[in-house]
Order: sequence, then structure tokens, then C-alpha cells
Amino acid sequence: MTAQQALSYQGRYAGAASRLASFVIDLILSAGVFCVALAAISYGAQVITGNLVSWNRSTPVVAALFAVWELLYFGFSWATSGRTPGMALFGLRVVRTDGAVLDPRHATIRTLVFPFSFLFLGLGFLGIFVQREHRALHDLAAGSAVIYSWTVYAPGAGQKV
Amino acid sequence: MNPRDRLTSAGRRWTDPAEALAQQVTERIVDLVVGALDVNELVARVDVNAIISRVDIDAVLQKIDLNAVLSQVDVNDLAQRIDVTSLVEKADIGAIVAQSSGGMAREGVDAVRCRTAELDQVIDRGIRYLLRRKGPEPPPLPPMEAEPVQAEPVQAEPVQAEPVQAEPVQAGP
Repeated sequence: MTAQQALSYQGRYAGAASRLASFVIDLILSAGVFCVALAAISYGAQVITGNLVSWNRSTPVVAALFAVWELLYFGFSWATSGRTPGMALFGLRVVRTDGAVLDPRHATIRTLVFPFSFLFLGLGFLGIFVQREHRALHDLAAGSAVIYSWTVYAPGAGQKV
Repeated sequence: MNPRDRLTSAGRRWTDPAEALAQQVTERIVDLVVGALDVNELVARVDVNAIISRVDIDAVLQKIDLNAVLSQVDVNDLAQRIDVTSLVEKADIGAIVAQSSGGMAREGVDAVRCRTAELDQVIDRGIRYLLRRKGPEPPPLPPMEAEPVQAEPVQAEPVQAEPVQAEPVQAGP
């Protein structure tokens, strides 16, 4: 792997493997944070009320809270930096179709449409495979695209290329 | 008193002041000579390389019995004299370790990114083959400008655009 090879990817449209890997990382991370938050709330409630509070995944309240948390996690990440932690790990970034920074309005649209991509066995994600610019349903709706974008350093020198 | 001793005593009475005088004169002459000498010019005239080239270092080293020299060195005493703590503080090993491990982690992450990007390309080629899609890939978007600069940037080689083959214009009949 050379810096030149890494440079050659910059600005190109990201494919299915990178996007799936970053999504899995985000899912693990966000679910972990959610579980920790629930445990903290349970502990706090137990200390205050003296009653044991337990959460069940099948409870509609927990499911709704989780859905809201996921929307906040992805929406806030895309609106502020154009990338979630998982995307940052794999060097991906959400941008406008002309390469501009994704503004909060389009990030919100992308976040709201994102759950619909899961409908019908994830039909909305088919665009990542078949569309020339690998744009899924939520990308088409928000006028966005996912590209490779990370800082490339010369090996061993610690210098940005 | 022995006449011989008397003679010696009389001789010393003359020789001692003369010796002291000679000593003073000699010291004065040496001072004048040394003061008059330009040592820098003298050193500049000396061809040190020529002198060193004449020295047979191998022969000198062969004459030295290193084992005998080393056997006389008390290594434990030498090691005890070394202030390891101050050496470590001066070396700032923490920064060196952090820098090297940070560089390794960065290169590792870069490698993972490139591998997944390669996998993306493999999948993309397969899809293109299945869909029998032809034509070039869409051009890359301009890189983001909001990347943080952590070191002096190195000028990247410019990406050359593929030449477009112009179709010949045929003249009318």
C-alpha cells in the first residue's frame, strides 16, 4: 500500500463493502452507547426510587427510544462533519453531488429517508450496487453521495501528502 | 674545614646565581618565542590528512590487546555511574513511543481503508460485468478542503486527465 494508491481513491465514489463495514461499526458503537445510557438511567432510577428498573428490547418504548437515538446519531454526525465515526474509520464522507459540504438541511433529509431504504428487504440500498455513483435511496433523496476522503500521510514520515 | 668543601662552597657562591640567571633568561626567551609564534598559522600549514594517511591504524589496533584493556574496566562500576533516569528524561522516550505507535496506527488504518476500497472495486467490476455496463467510471469529486493539516504538506503529483480522442471531421461531397 502506497500513499499514491491511497491518493488515487480520494474523491471517488465509495462502494458497498466500505459503506457496509462503516455501517456495522456505527451500529455496534451506537448500540453500545445506547445500552450504557440505559444502564445508567436504570442505575439512577434505582438509586432515587429504590425500585429495580429493567429494560426489555421488545418494549415499544425502548424500541422507539433506540430508533430516535439512531436517527440522532446518524443525523447529527452527517450534519456536523459529513461522516459518522464508522465512516471516519473507513475514510468515507457524505457530500453533495457536486462535491460540496453536506449542509444540515440535506443531512436531515438524508437521515429521515434513511430508514425507508431498509424497507422491502433493503431495496433502497440497491442503488449502491447498480447506480453508477453508488447512491442509495437516501442519497438520491438528499442529493448526496458518499466518497473516499481521508488525509493521506507519507509512510514513516508523518507528513500529509 | 676540608679544603675540598671550601672550594665547593666557593664555587656554589658563583654558580647558583649564574644558574638562576640562566633560568630566567631561558624563560624569557621562551616567552618571547611563543608570543611571536602564530599558532593558528602553524596549525593551518600542517596537513593533518597527510599525517593520518601515514598512520597504519590496523597495525596500531593489532598492537592493542583489547581483551586486556577490557578486563581492567569495571563495567558494573561504569553502569552504576550512568544516571539512567536523567538519560530517559532527556530522551523523552514517551514522545518517541507515541510518535512511532501513532505512525504505525495511522499506516494500519490507511491499509484497512485501501483494502476495503479495493474490495469495493472488485464488487463494482462484478456488477458492471453482470449488468454488461460499459463506459468509463464517473470522474472523482474534488477533494474536501476541510482536512486538518498535522504536518507540512507534500505536493502531490497532479492527476493527468485521459486524452480525449477527437473524431476526424469529414468534408462534404
